[in-house]
Amino acid sequence: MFDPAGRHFDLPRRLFGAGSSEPLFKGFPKVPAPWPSAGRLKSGSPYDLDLIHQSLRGGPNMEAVDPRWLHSTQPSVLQEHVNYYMGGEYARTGTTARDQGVNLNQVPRLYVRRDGATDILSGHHRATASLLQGAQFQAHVIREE
Amino acid sequence: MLTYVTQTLYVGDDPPPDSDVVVVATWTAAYRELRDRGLCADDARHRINFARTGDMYATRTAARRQHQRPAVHRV
Repeated sequence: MFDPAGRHFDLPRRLFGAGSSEPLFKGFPKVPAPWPSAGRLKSGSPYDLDLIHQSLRGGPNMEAVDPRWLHSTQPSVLQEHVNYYMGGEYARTGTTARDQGVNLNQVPRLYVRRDGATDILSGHHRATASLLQGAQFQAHVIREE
Repeated sequence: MLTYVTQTLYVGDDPPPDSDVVVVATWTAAYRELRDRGLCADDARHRINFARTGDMYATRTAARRQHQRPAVHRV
């Protein structure tokens, strides 16, 4: 069950608004993503794939999201990319740090499960940058009914 | 209603949600704004296409015509 007061969120709570990427990376170029890992199933996808495909049709439906209460679906983040997103280029032009030609990566995509847990499908570095800046970020949110 | 183009650029007729955001009335104006922000013509066109359709490559090109995909934004 999703519990924002739980100890799983101690690290993102501490990092929120740190102002720089150093408190997370501490001299390393790559560190584990700062959120608890998203729950998985023994087999198959934990997500409603039809819902995701349906949601990807048309332009992205963006919402402001608090970066503290997320779950990660990738193991690590790179300081180079986080620093890029902490600069202004992405906000101004939408140019991503990588996979610039891939539709899926153009905006952060989040999946909200029925119990309220929010998984990052893509955009871990953008979410990390927002966490460190202590600000909400714009993401395409896909919600289970 | 506002349609997202980038974190600081929207298309629509509502007031900007915060002071860093620019709102323009048309897709053509959004394209010009992106060009002013330093994007090349291709990247600006792809960004507009993505905002409108979710597909960066929803543009009339030779390859797209072969697939009979409709043009969405062409400058």
